[in-house]
Amino acid sequence: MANKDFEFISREEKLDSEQTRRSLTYWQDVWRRLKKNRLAMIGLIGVIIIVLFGILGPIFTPYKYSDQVLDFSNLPPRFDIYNIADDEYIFLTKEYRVLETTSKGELISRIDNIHKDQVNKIYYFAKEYEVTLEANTVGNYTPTETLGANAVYSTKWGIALEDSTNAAGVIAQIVYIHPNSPFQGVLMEGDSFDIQSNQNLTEIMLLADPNSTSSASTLIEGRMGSQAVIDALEANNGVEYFVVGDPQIEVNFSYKLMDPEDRPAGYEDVLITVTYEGKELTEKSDTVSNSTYLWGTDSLGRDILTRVMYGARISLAVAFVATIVNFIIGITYGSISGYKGGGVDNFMMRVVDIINSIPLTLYVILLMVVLRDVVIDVTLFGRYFVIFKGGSGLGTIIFALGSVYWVGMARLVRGQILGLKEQEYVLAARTIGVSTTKIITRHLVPNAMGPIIVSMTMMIPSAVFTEAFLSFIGLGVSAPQASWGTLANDALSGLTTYPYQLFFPAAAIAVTMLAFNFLGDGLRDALDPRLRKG
Amino acid sequence: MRSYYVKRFFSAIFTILIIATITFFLMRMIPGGPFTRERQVPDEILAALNARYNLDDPLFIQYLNYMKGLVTFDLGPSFRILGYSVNDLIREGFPTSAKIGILATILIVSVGIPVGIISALKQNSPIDYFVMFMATLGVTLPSFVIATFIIYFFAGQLGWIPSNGLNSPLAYIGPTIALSGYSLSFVARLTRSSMLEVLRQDYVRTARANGISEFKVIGKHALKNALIPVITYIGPMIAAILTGSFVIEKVFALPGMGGYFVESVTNRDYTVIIGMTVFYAAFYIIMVFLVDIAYSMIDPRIKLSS
Repeated sequence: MANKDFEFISREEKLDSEQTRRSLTYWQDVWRRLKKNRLAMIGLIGVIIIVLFGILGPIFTPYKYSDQVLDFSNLPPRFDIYNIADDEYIFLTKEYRVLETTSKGELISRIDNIHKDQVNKIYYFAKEYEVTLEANTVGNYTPTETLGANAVYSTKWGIALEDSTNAAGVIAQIVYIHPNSPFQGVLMEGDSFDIQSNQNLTEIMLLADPNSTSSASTLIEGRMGSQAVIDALEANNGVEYFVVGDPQIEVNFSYKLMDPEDRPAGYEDVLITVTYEGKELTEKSDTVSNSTYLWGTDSLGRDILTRVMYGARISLAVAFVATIVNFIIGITYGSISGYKGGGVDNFMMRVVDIINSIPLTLYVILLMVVLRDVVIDVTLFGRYFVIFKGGSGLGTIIFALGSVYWVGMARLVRGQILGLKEQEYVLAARTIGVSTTKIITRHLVPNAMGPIIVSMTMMIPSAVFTEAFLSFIGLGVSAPQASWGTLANDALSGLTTYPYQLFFPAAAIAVTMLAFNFLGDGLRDALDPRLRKG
Repeated sequence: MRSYYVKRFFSAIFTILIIATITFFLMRMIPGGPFTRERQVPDEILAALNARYNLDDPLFIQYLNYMKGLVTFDLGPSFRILGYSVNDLIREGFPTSAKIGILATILIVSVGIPVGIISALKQNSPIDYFVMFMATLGVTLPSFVIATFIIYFFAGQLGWIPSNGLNSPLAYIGPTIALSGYSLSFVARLTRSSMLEVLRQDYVRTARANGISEFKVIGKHALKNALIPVITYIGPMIAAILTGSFVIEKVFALPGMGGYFVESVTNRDYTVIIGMTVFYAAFYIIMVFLVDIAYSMIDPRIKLSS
């Protein structure tokens, strides 16, 4: 091999071949280590999802957290449906209400209980239609076909009636409905039209089937002939609604003792049979998910999903703000104590020791009670300002949590500052005359940030926990607002019948705790790899 | 050593007095008194009530009177529960809370620590994963969720245990498990991680190298050091279990102190609130004090002079 086989490389090329890597800052390095920790990343994603769930969730649901639909109270997320006609399904709630649903589990309406046979425990339900007879539905409906000689016609509402008789006496039977009439689609020709004469005309009851069971006929007292019905309709411009239907659905809730071997001591089972138009429905058609209220409803018919999302807002807001308050108090207190040292430190730490020896939960409870009734107001320049208003609201909880749990943070910061203040760069800063405040805020606290952040991540779940605890013993936010704790508390009374009402808020708490704990552990490892445990 | 205990004792009493003072004035800050009802009470009756309970004295005199009572362990009468003193309420409620609390503590110590040790010894085995899974679950579920789950499942669905009251021995199972759930999981996790750390220490290796039986290495050499952080936690935990029992007592409908405390808070029964707070605080401080002593006995390196 001769010399000419080799070649000098230029200086640039020489530099280029050296292995260099962009130097990472402390936080970039932390992020790199954190990314490698799978559990921590799951935690981080979980935290982001929960926060988004709380912030954006309520925007996407059609309900408000306070919307009540009493007809749809205590509905589970999954239920059994019975097919009663082609495309009509019913769902029998645990409170013996009958709801009309679709095959996909969308709730349509509640079917009214029109008669109760208390002796035999048979309940009769009829479908309810709403016909709004308002001024704007008044038309001049000219009949499109010739009507019988006995027919009485209302051009105002487009409906023709004729007297007919049945076992109970004279009834008004519908012989014609105009295609544009408001009754179109609700009543059919052949249906009978009874008005309870003693009733207020704003609530007229229509019973479509005159040949129904004896129970229904008890309702058809005080019947009116066709002319009277038409007169009543014509006279009225603002009938709000009609109840239309017949007792198509019979639900027999009679009790039947179970086989003694199968039944736990002291228990009876309720035997429920559902009969539609005299035909007994023996088997439920399907078990479907509630697609109107995905997570079901609570005892006032409020959507649990919306309330859990709203609860996330409240619970997380309490946790975040309380943590920030703790952070501010703790950092101020701890850094002053640590930096000043000596007598000041000694005194401040004695105070911390005393606070630390108090069971803090008690003080949070006491503060909640005190703050509930406190209103701080001032009159400045002739104007009235309310600085702080108690009440069992958010502010009270945040204040109580924030003002009590800063002790741990103060100790942590003090310990960090004690070590850091001996470093040369602090001495250098002091020599060139940097003020104490600036040394603390610019030089000491940023360098102590690692453990502080870990402690804050751990403080958030414990604040969620404490808030849930307080709400659970009745000191939380007041209705209709909801936090996860109050939701769990509300669910307690109906626990055996409606366990799902507790499940969702409890799961939300547990998932949040898990996510923040994973993230906190990961952050601790990433910020100080020496602390990593096997 | 003795002078340290004496010093700690006095500082504990001082702390209790401070707590009583803070609580006293905190309660007096609340607008509206214990006799404020929905229905307006006539002024004469209010005055008579205030006179009966010495609430018409100047605040400072009231404070002195209260402190005088406190020193002689007389916590005053209840304003709301007629004919009961705070001492009576504590006497009535504390045994129930204490029974559940002691059972829970026994459960935590006798299950949490062994489980943690086993988990550490079998690190990364299915047993370890199972224990850690359960422990993580226990730490993330609030006690009221555990309690309601127990009621729903074991009392309701299976009917094995009563769902409320304490009338049979079986009835203790639910509240005990619910009350210990969080701490049990925490102790198991703590024992595991501190055991793992100790097992990596040189002196454990030395002990093994010397041919000491594995049982002795773990039981005598490793465990002693591994338990120090656990004991630090258990002391305040016992007091916390008492306060945590508010929820458990509510869910299981037990006639304990927690119920009285929460009730007094909503009723603004001043003396009961202050009395029970002071009682809890004293209990807590005594527990922490006992832990310090236990510390020095287990680990002679800890100096109690500072």
